[in-house]
Amino acid sequence: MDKVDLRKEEAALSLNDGLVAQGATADLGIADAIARGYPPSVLYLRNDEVVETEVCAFNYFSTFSKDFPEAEAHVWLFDGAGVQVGYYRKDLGLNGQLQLKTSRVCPNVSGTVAVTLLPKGDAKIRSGKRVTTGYYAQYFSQQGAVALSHEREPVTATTFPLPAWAQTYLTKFIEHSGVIVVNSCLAADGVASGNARLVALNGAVLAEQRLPAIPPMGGRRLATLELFPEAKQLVGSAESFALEVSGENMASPFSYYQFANGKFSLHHF
Amino acid sequence: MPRFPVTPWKPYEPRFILPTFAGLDNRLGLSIPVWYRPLNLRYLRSLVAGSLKKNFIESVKDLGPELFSLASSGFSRKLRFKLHILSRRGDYLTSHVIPSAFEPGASFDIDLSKLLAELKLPEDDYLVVAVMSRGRMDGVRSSPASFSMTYLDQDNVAIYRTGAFARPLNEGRLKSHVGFTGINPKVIATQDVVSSVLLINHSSDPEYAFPAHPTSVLIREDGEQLQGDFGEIAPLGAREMSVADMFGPQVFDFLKPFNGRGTTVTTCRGMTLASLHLQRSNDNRRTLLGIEHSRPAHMNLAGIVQH
Repeated sequence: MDKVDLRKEEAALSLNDGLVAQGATADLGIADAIARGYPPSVLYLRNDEVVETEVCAFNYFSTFSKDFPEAEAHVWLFDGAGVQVGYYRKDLGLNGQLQLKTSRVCPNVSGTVAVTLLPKGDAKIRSGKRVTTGYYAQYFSQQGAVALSHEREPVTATTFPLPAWAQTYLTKFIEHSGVIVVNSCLAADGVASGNARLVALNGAVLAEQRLPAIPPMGGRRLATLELFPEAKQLVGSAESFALEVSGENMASPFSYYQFANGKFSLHHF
Repeated sequence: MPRFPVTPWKPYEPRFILPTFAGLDNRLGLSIPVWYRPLNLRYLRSLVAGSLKKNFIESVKDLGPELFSLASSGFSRKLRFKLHILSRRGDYLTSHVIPSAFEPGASFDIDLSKLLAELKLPEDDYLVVAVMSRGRMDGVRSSPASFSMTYLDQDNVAIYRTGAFARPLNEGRLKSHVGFTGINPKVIATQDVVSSVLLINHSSDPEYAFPAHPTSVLIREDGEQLQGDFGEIAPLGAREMSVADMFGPQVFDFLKPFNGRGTTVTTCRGMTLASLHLQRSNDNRRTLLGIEHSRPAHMNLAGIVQH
């Protein structure tokens, strides 16, 4: 695993951004977090010349729990092929918060980001339950747009199906549009695969295409016209169209628009 | 005098309130998954289990109209939509029923700005109560997919997506709420970007009459805080407050040592609110850069045993 030494990075972040990394203890493996009952939640990661991703979280344990007011945040970053390329950890005291520019940890990497907030102390998990994490990402376009997303599904250690989900797009932006597929399965055999369908508003299927396979924890951005080169002709004069995605081992997909001026907008289906 | 001229939604009809913004193209959509069925074995089991917890009369009273409606439609899988337009003060203005029905696989998609103009409403910020004819027959009758709210200006697209539900909200006879706590760790106050929080004082009761008075605290990385008053939100109304509105112009200097970043924690006792986080250009709210609904953070602690 190609792993970034974040002790130096944290020191730099502390100096440059005022982020506190004091008291950081041992790294936590993502599989260990799942095994402990704290599966991290995934989002798309994009750091390139167009977009930078920031993850934001607040120590809500200090708001809602007298027993466990302190927490630790763990952030794992993967490239598009699912190779872990970064890890960041921060202790969050009372009202502690995290606003991490992930490009500082892994510049020029796009794929997935997974975040877990763990309460400090001897927290017991209810039988049969798991503790999910709430956080947000901000995608800053160099041209000034900001897309926001709350966290999506927790990472799983076992394979799972994705039922068909669809969302509408504006035809006038068809050449700027697409879908982002994120693999949220950690299992070795958890390759994400499935189909995309171009659908008219009345439900008529205009075209269907096999999605490229995505390794565990990988992610990929696919333009509508890359998937369906004939989409403009198929959609015709309709004001909107829909893309439908189904398969296995994928978190619910994200729709996106990216304009020629670099403004980027994404949101989950 | 009732707020709505006719019953705006039935108790089992999923609904939610979304804002529209003057000066933007506002759109609303929902793609109905091909697998959607109003009733399947899984939901039937939960319906029976839920009914067994109540007495027979209560169960019939709750489920009767819904099951009658489903049966009289021939167990149709098609969904219908209607929209009620409210002012940001929660005053009813008009309604619009979408004439078509939509079957699984199809998409409901409407240009709200065009609709508001056709309804002869002057350009302004409004609220839309989106109501669908039925959802999944789970405990909260959730919509089978997320609604998509899209806001466009000349070269920017801001989207948020959320579900509709038929659940008791701010309706004392059905449910009491401990309170609302909304956390926004994405706050920015810089020369370029200013964050806002938009709160909606929603309710399952069409005659809901209680204003909300939330308060907010802005917390920066070193733990220093500013206290702010969110102001009053009318029943079934909404209010957007930027961090500059809530904490004054000093907010920029307050957050400057931390790259303009911070977190707001907004609370309101005894009631629940819908919450949206907005990123706007620092240009008196002319440009909406990004929007997202907040998530109830306390739900993330549900799996932990607490004393």
